[in-house]
Amino acid sequence: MNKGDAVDLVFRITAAVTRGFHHVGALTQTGRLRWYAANMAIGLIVVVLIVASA
Amino acid sequence: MVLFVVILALLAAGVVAWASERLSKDAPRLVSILAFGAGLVWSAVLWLDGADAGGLYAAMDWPWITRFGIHLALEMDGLSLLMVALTMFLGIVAVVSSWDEIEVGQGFFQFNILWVMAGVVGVFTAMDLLLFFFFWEVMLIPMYLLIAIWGHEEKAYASMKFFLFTQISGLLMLFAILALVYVHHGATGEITFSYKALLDAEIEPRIAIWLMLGFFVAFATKLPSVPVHTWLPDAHTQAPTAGSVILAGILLKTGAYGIIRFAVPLFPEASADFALWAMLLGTVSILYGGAMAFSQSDFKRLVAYSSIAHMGFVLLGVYAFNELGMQGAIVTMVAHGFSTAALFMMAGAIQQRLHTREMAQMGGLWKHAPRMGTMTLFFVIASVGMPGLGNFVGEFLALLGAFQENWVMAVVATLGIVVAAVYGLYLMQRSFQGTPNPDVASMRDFGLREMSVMAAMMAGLVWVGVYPQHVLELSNATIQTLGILP
Repeated sequence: MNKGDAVDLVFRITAAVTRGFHHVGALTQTGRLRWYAANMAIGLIVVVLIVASA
Repeated sequence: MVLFVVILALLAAGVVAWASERLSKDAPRLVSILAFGAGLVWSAVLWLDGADAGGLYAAMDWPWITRFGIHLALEMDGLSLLMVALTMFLGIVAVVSSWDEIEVGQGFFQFNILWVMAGVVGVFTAMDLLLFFFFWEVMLIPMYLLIAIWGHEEKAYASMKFFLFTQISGLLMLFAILALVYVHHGATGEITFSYKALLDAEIEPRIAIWLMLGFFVAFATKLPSVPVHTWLPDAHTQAPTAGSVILAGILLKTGAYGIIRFAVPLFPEASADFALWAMLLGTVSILYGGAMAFSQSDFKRLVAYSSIAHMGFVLLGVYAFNELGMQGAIVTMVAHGFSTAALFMMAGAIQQRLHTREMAQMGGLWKHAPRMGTMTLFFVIASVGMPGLGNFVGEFLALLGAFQENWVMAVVATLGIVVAAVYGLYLMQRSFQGTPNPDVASMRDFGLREMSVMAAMMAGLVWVGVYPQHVLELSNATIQTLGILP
């Protein structure tokens, strides 16, 4: 009966979600520099837009 | 002065133990035994000498980082003395319980044990919040290493879980400490981390409740209380025997000590408002821990869950906010230190002999090892709460205190004692009694070394159980000076 401790699920799920983010994040690490540059540029544009609109 | 020397001596003994590995295999553990033995004698001498007029056994206050009002302030009152003596005693038990369990890194192993205990002595005596936090962290890292290096099959998972739980809850406490100092600075213009100065801090109730929760979460995680208890079964099960003994015997008590010394006195009104919830958490811990213990098939895991149930009584007693409850909590801390340390030592001994912790692979062990069986029976009965042994006194007083405050909660919590009898006797039945397991051909019984520490722990439990006044006097002095009771 509940040998695995149901309360622990909260923490195990948190850990699993974090690990999921790690895997998704790791996918973007491709070594293609042009992609990195493009992403940085997009990020910069977003920041500028936020600053400009505020 | 003397307290600082003791902490430094334990740290130094750790280094000596590590270095002495070159001399012989036995040298490191002999250094540890000597260090803890000397510490135990020292605490006994302090106790026999008696306290000074202010109720203190030792005190010192040196400036450390004056710019931020941080002091090397250490003080030992009755409660601290009780806990430090228990620390030294269980240090010896821990070393003996892992006597021939550790194959590699004997020196570094003893180094870690001595450093954990140095941190623990610091935690039990610190009178400066930053110093307290510092020692809180000193405890953590050697303990992490003990599990991560010498643990069992899932040591990486268990040690990381232990580390994250303690570290994250510790950060909440650090945040609360800094906020408390900031608020105090805003009111008085003085930056200080001194415990005594901060006791008088005037804090808005709206803020106080959050700061109190910061402390409470850190201590409740260490205690542990449901729902932040889940690191404990993993850490205890995977730790080497000495690690389990230290974790259950002492580290859990630092959580209880923190609540009694810091969370409640620093925020008396906020704690009083929160008392009902804390008592509820205690009651839930008692019943949930008990039910979980009963569901386990792993000897060590069962004992680990039973610790959660026992520490629930501490929470219940402290937040009853009366003398009986507080006394009960403190006696439970001491008695649980003895009884659980003994049961973890037993679990380690069985695992070393049978290479399993599963109770399904035990059964009828009494036939092979009658001394181990007798010892297990004694400590199971003690942790079930038989009158005449320490645990009964503690749990009974805690329940009595809780009854005056909230009788419904006390009645429900009392059911926890019935649950304890169920899982305790079930543990005994599955491992030592019943039909002998044909797979177990023979098993070495306890020798003189193991029996002598077992006898010392039995004597401790009988002492606390039959004549609890010694413990009560020490703890009462602290309860009166803390002035947390209405």
